[in-house]
Amino acid sequence: MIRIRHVLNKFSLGIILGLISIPVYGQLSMGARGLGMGQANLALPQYDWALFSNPALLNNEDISVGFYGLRNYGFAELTDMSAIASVPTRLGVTSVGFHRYGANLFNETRLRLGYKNDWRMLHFGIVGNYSHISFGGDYGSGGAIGIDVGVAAKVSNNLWVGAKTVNINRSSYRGINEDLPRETGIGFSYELNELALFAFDVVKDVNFPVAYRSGIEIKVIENLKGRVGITTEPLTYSLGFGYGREQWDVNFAVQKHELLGFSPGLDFMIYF
Amino acid sequence: MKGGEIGIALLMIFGLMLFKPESAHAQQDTTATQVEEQLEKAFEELDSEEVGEAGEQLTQFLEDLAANPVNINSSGLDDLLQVPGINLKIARAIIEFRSSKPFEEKSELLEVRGIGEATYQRMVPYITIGGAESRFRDMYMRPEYWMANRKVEVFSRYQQNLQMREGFREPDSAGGYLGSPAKYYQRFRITSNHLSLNLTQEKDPGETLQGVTGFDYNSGHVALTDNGKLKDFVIGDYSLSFGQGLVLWTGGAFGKGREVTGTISKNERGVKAYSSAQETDFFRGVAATYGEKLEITAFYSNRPRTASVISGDTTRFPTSAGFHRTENELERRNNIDQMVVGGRARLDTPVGLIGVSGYYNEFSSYIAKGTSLSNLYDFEGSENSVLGIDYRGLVGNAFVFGEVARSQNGGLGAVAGIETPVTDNTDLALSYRNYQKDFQSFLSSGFGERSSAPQNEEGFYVGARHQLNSLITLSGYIDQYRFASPRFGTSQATGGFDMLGLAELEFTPKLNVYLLIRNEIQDQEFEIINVRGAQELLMGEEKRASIRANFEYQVSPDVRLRSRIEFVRNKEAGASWEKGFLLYQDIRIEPTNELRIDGRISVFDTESFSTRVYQFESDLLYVLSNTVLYDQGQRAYVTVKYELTEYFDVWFKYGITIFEDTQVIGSGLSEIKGSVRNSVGLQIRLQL
Repeated sequence: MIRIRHVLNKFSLGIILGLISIPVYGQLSMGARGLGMGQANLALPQYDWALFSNPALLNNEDISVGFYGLRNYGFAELTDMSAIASVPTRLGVTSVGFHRYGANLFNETRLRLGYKNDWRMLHFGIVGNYSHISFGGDYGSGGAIGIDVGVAAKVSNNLWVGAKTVNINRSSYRGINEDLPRETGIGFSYELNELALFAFDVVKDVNFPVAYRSGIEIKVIENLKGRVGITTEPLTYSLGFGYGREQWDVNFAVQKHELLGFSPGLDFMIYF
Repeated sequence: MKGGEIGIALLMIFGLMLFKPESAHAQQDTTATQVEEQLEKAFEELDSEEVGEAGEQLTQFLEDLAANPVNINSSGLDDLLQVPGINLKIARAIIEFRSSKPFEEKSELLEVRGIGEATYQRMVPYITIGGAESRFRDMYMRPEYWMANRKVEVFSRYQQNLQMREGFREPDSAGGYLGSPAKYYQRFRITSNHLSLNLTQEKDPGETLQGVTGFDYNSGHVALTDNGKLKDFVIGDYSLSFGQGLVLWTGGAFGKGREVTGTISKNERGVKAYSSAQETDFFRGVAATYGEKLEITAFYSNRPRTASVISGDTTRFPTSAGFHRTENELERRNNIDQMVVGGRARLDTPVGLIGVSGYYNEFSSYIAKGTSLSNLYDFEGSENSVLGIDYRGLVGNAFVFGEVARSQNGGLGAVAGIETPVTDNTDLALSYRNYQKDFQSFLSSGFGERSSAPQNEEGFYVGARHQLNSLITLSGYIDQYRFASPRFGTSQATGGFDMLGLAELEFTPKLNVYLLIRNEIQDQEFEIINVRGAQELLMGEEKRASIRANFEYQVSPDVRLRSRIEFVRNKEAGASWEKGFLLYQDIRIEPTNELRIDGRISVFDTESFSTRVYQFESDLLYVLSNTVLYDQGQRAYVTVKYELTEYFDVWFKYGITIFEDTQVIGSGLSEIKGSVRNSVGLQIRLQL
């Protein structure tokens, strides 16, 4: 029994180590709405989890609190969990977010503090991100502080554009030989007749091939929205829905990786 | 009393400064943006090295033109023709239009036959309808005449790469650079409507500088412009551009690019006082143009050049680099002389402009051509002369142009073309060029695949532009060419095919999108090891294709965003396809009338140098910045322009490029260790 568990642990370690060499894997952006739309969230207006994708789009209407969980490929060891709180003030929106990924053998913890404002119709945001990763069994651990910036603008009544750069200060982990990812992306979202929202992102991590992400959100009935999305590098398909009322919002999505299988994600938002 | 007058004058100046209308600032900034866009259109497709030659002068030409726009109510034909977008046909139409009534608004140009919205947008930064003072030209002999619109400008510019290049580490005796890594440029200029005085001085990185007189490069002129029949008179440095450029053309020229129909013919600038820091592409001596219907130009130039010595008094052709950084480079600095004397006559007839130009050139050394196959037909000897005849005119609705020239050895070069509207919303441009392999015209620049002197090229160009509707404009060109003798790097005749397709979409005046596709195929030789183990040279094709999407949106009057995605594919002959990618987000904000900030973050990822990507950057005034990016990495820059006071402007730029898998950048003396390359630039301008 012990033996089998040992083998399993080794097996999952292999997967984990394999995964951390795969680009941005539900590890950078959060939220089930975005996941359902193929993570095309760089220009998604009113996106509750913008703190993790494009801080220029932080929700500036309500005080909000939210929770999100994603079980990657069904492995408990590969779970993302995060929480977010945003407070709009007269001097801009401030937001704080927490994210934890992984289990004992490998885990990553992130704490994000963001600020957003707009000036002459240009939305801009900045995030200070502290990441800490540790490898179980004395393989080391380390932390890094990265700065993310984003801009966004409403180009016409129904077209938004957004762009972000992650880790603009080129930080790398102290204590271990790891770089904090550096990626830049540009996104567009287009709203058609208030019934359908199309989103398209192009994202490039300096070390990995360019990735395209796109998604559609469709209003099924009042308060209920259905979503589909597709990404490249890696190739995934996703599907999701969201139900929202005045005071709360719940979203569910599942993403299918070409080889690794299904990853279900769920978030819950409360507005004050 | 006198003091009182001065006091009042000062008060008035001060008052004017205080009450300067805000629109003037706004105007200047949109103009700057438009000039930048035009330069980008002209240059982004070119190799950086090629751009260096012509780019700076052209940048300065356009910036100057924007700063001293052409008066459409009073300027003559030639001045009008300097404006991008205006060809002979349009210029004549403008003159005809204004003979019945002067232009009161720039936009009245749209009423002139042949000027559509696109053409108008191209020319608008460079034209003016003239203020009240310029309408009174009856003060010829008064000092005010010479001082009218007087502007005194002082520039000081400093640029430096922050990484130490290998040349600065090497001791002088071992061939290292003697001077400091700073690049410094300064310029004093006084211009009025009829007078121009200029002194430009520059020191390149690695060159030494000893006091005010110790600059490596000095250029100056005294020039009179537009004085009745004496159109131009320059003592000092000047550039010459005549006809279609087959005999004499220095000072930069537009070529193939995103403007597919307006740039195949050249509009001569004649004698132009020179003030650029491009160190080799000009004349030094005296030049004058006189006349009206019949214009006569004569010039004499004699100046030292730098050439590598083969033996005794035999040298190679003078270099165009202008660097004198090491003991070796300094030793051969200005080691030969080049004398050029020549002239031009041009007649303005009812059927068009007919010109004859020619010159005689003499080097003080015997120029020996290079030894490779591609140098076979290059100039050799110490004397050369070129004579040519050119024509520009209207035939019905069509603008027709051409030039034929012959060099001393009997080599011929010719170019001819036509630009014509087909329907109201379609323009067509055709051009044929045939520069024989032994056509030796090294002071020229002809339309073609190569931006260097026209030689050894035959080609046919077809360009068209079609305004589909108010939203979409489509344009494209096809250019097929052939080099009859080996070009650089080949041993036989080669050819190629170049194609461009462009769709411009103007969704709203605030949102512009364009899609650009380019495709080029060129013969290329490659080596293989055959079955017997011997090297064999084969002919294959090098293919390059690129596709770009560019989005530009004016978020608010003070904020502009621009995004770009570009893919490049390249296949060297005998090799496999390689890919390149560029993505950038650009932002321009103008928080106040005095301050403008440009910033950009780019990511690039190319498999090789041949899949390199280019990006045109905003830079210090008069600096052309077409950055080439290859390998894998990121680049960011910020450029700030701040108008401290009415007469004092400051520019600042910081740029940084970080490579991912590279630890050494460049080679030889320009090698830099490490993966980071950053640079700063600072420029001030005093305008009195």
